[in-house]
Amino acid sequence: MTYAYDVSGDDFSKAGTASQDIKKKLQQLGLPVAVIKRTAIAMFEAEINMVIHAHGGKASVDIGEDKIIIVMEDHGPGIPDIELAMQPGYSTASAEARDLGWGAGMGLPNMKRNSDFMHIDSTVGVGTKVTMEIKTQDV
Amino acid sequence: MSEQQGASQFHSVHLHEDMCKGCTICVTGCPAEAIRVRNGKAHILEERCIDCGECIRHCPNKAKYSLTADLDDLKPYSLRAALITPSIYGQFNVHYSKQQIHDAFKLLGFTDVYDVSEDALKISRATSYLLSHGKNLPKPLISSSCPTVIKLIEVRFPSLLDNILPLLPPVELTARRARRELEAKSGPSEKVGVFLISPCSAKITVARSPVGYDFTDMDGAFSFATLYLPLITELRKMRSDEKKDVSDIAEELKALNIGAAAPEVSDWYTDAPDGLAWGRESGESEYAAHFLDHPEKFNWITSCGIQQVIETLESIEDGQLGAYDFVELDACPGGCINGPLLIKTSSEGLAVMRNRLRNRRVQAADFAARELPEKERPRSAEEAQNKSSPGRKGDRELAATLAAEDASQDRADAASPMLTDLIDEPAPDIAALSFTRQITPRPARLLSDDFATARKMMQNMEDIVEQLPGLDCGSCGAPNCRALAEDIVRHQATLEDCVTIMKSRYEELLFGNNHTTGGGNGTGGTH
Repeated sequence: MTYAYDVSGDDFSKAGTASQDIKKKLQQLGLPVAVIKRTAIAMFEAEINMVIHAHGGKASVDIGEDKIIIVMEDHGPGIPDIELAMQPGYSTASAEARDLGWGAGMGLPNMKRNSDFMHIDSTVGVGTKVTMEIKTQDV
Repeated sequence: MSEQQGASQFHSVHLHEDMCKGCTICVTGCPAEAIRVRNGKAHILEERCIDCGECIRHCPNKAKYSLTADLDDLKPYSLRAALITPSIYGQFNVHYSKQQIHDAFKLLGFTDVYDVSEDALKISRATSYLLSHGKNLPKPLISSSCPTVIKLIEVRFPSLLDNILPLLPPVELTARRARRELEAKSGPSEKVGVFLISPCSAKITVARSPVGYDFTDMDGAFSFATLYLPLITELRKMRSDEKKDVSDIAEELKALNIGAAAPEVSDWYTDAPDGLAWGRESGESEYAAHFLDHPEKFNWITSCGIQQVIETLESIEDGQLGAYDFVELDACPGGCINGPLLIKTSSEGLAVMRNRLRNRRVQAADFAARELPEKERPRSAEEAQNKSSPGRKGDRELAATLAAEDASQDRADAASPMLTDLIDEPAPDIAALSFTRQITPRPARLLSDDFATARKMMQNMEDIVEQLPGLDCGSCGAPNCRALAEDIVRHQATLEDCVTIMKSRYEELLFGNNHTTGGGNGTGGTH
């Protein structure tokens, strides 16, 4: 079962709507609360990243028997050094975004922390594709 | 209480069937999507209702009402306590003193009157104690004083059960105090009855079905709306009978157009109750701050009104408000002073409350900010509501948040914490205020216990949504097309309940397939 969402790049107030919809679906399916919480946080952070850095993009969520696969794909600037970007506190967010309270450099680490598998595929000038997997069996 | 027998454990909202026109205004306005119009009448889906009273507020035909005790229910008891919540004091003009208000209740048949505000302060003290002495506190702690908020979390935000403050609601504390005191002074054959005077249906429900504790000391609850007229009648009589005081004189002078200066509020009202500000937005947080050794470090948010409460809970669930210590959530806009069973508007209730508080040596509103430099003041509700500062703060705060999140995830899946989870050895007076049972999820959204079945149902739902017009008109009796699709896969409705689909079916029948309008965009048939 796959759900696709467009993540708006210019309307900040809509950030988080895709993760909220997924949250509701996971509840309807009766998945464990901890799984729902991790999915919500991982996906919300990824959505926010897309809005701040990449003018939006596409999200797709596959709810499978044993895992949830979240794929977030954008055509933003790309990440030159993924290892560096993964370090807590590292951020390239604009002064504007920081003024709004964003850009603490915790987005990617938080996504990794709340997923069981995360892979980032990124090319500078082309875009970024983040794949996250969350096991649906309670661990 | 004949009417309350067999009442729902979830809510106290009932319907005057004869007054319901089946208009669906309550259906589309229900934040829990818990109402359906079936056979022309609005029905509540028990397990989904969060008892917020929005339907009582918005029904244009006044067909929705709350269960309530009536004065005859007092008869079996020789000692009869009325518990008055802070919000109720805002319902009487400030020239009626607290004593006069209590006397009016006595004239209706109560023998003793208890002010819930005093017990609310005990909860504030316990909250601040927990905030400063607790271990692995979930961030943010969510206030447990509004029963509707707890129900909303049970139904829609089960992952946030972890964050609920495990303390009794003030009304229950007062009930226990009242019963203890009255039983101590009652004779062996005398029966004690304890009744809440409630601003909302949610508190009427907890007077028979407690959430988070095992028994209640309340025997019933009155909707304030049903008592307002007799109370105000008694108060007016009192005022015309009593000896002239300064305010009466002032009013008489005013009536004669002599133009005397209005008397000081302190002359009108000298016994402002403590804890009164609990009745309005931010009051609970301000008192908690007041009892803290370091209120300047206390970081709190208030959200009022059910939609804003939902937004805040979503935000906490998305991991965005972990920098805050405490979240006060009130289902009613402005706090309890705008309960659906109150009479005055929340604005007037707030004004009266402000006047009643004005006379106190330290204004409650100043508690949180007292003696603090401007920049260190705790974040105000306005700031919390400001969408452009979503609370994502510095690294250190985030690290603390993450640690708290981890700690809360270590606990058993989906149940509220017990006090002993949050504090090693609570002092006896704090332990006495503790919840005695965990609050667990109410899986009203669950499609099926079996994952494979639930998946199939969800797939069907998506297919049905595709066929529906997407107008969210409510004519089918469900709040929107998606909800109808869900009702259909639950076998509680059929596709033909959709008027647009029905119309195209009719056209098919009348004019044949060539003339149908297809998936129901409602453009009408061709001839």
